[in-house]
Amino acid sequence: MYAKLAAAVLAIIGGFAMGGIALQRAEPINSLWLVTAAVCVYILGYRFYAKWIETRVFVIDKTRATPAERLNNGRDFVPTHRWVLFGHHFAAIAGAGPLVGPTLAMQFGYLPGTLWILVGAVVGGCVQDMVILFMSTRRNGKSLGQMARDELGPIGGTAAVLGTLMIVVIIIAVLGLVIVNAMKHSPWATFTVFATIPIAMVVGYFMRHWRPGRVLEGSLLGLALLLIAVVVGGWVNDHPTFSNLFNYEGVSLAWFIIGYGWIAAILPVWVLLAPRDYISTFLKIGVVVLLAAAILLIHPEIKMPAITRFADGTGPIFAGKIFPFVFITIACGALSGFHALVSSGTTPKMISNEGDIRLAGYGSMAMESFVGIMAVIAATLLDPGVYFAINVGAGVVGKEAADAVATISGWGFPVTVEQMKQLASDMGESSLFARTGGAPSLAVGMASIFSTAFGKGLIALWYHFAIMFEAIFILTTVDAGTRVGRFMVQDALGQIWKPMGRTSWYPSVLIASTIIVAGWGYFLYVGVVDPNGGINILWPLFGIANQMLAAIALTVACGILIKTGKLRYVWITGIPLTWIAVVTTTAAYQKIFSPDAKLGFFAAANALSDQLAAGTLAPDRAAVAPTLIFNQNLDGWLTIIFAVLMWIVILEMLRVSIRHVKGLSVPPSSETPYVATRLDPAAPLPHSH
Amino acid sequence: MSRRAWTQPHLFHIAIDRQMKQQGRKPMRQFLSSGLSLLRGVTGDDAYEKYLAHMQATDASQPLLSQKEFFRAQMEQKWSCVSGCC
Repeated sequence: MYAKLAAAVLAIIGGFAMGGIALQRAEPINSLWLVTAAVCVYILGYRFYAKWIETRVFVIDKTRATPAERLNNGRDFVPTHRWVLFGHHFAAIAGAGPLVGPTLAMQFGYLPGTLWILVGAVVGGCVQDMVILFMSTRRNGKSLGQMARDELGPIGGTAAVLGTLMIVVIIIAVLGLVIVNAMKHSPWATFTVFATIPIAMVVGYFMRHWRPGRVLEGSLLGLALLLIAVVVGGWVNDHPTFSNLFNYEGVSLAWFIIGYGWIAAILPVWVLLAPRDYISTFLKIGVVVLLAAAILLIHPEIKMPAITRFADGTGPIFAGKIFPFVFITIACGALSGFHALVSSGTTPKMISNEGDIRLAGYGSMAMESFVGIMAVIAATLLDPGVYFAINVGAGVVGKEAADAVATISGWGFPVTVEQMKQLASDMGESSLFARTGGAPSLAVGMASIFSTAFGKGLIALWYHFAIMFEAIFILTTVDAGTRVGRFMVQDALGQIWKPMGRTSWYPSVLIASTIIVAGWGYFLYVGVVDPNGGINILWPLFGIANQMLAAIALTVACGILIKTGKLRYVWITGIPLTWIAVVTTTAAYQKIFSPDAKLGFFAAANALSDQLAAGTLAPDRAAVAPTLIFNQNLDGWLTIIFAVLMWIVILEMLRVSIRHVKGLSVPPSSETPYVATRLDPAAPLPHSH
Repeated sequence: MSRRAWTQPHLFHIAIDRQMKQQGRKPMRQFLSSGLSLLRGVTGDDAYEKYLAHMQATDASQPLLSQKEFFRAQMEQKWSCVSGCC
């Protein structure tokens, strides 16, 4: 009774907040509305929709032994307390994605992005993560690729694995570009990011030799050293000689990241990757809590309009209309295919009871969506003129500060050179113009939130703390992604020539790592030399790839639901699948066929070759033009491959499902048979032994 | 707290827990202690203790890994598949 009453009150508050957000157009609204609406929507989704899915669709069985119990080996299969599981899964899915995507999508205004983050999460992303987690748990923790192969057959399985490999390459490149743009000509940021490498190595050594396995102590040590590095960075920045040592062009930084990624992929994990990931988990949870507290404390006004003029597709950060591009730009935070890989990776092996799947799968994704809302607030509390000045490439608004502010003010978002100068000097930077990629503008937003809440004088420190925070995630993605890609390539090469499949055979390690690093290194390099900032090309490509993977995951889920006799409930994944398939196909179609050189990959390549042939390009642009032309053509072909892969899996699922409904033979269900649990469901697991 | 707890790191937290139990948990203490054990669980700080408990509970004839060996194996295993995200 009380629960129902509380839910009704929540629904009213949530509806009121949503209505307030949607209708309040004339004057700036307060970020508290966004937070209220978000929290209500998540609670309602979790309490009702997820609960309904759990009881009616999954028909979870709390007496059924999970893989963690049956296969308990004290190592990867370990029954885990539900809140520990929640924290673990959240830390695994959340990275730089939910921060960058929403920041970029704010060029449309705060409303479209916010609505997609909320609605997309509760009916799309959270459902996907929870369904895949459930299905993998019922299949001994099998991966998405394996489930696709077992349930749909080899064609679907191969398409899923190929899609995964391609998205790994694109995501490393785009995140590498984000961090290069934050470090470009910024001695402070470059010093701090460089310092994370020896710090991770010190922590790695500490955790291996001095205090093996004492993760908490190691993480605290790393955190302390990182904070010191941020402070020392300020000193380096002010020092005439040292600041020159850390002042680099984008291209040099790109080569540095490429070399770093290659070395990190072949080093043992304990040296760099594992210790940094431990520090990153710690930092992630801390910063999310701190940011939420600071936003509640200062609840800033949102200065960005609800919808900007760029809804028409002429956006300077990336081209394309709200539909479909807001849904492509915001992947992590609303619906992200990558999560399906995590939900079918380590987490299902840790579930002690099927009753915990809702909290880990649905709850963690709601939390990530909330991180996306916080990124929205951090981006929209800036003056819109400042937001565009930071996020738009020099190729669009001009290299000179005066040209850039004139163009941006001309769009109706007033900003002055003095204002940008003052902001840059407040943040301890030489310039904040054209720092594309979202990280710097997010850091400016976070710095102003933190400094307002916890001390005005430290704004430059907060800015570089935020950059370091994003860099930690991104470098972890670079290492971990390169490693995963390396294993996939080794696996594939092993099919051709057996010795290549041996994961620790050094020639194989070197060759496979080089292939992967060359793949993402190429996209990163082209992004850096592109005068438009590169993000405008690479982020939509990443979005299409990620949403393709989401479509594949939802397709596998639909197939399994139908094959397990739940045809009448297939809409829970069928609706998000239909939506994301339409979005991805439309976006891919526009990227392939649009005659507009800003939007279409092939159109851009053709336009640029015409200009090159006619000799109308400035010399510096003509020098990079052949590279850019090749890249635009390549991106066009990649987009075609993404769309084709997605449709192969969807059609394969439809074929198998129709055969199943008709009673014809299909691959058998790979669900493991029922075994009764011997754990006492009434006595929850202790947090730790 | 015994001397042994300080010299054998993995017993340290167990010793703190035991000490708290002896003193009788006050609400604040209980809150902090469960917060700490949550954090230890999420970061993987308590993984070896769980492993030991598991090995003690099952009378497997497998040799017991030392904390160092266990930690090394855990890291290798974690990073051989997709375990992080965007």
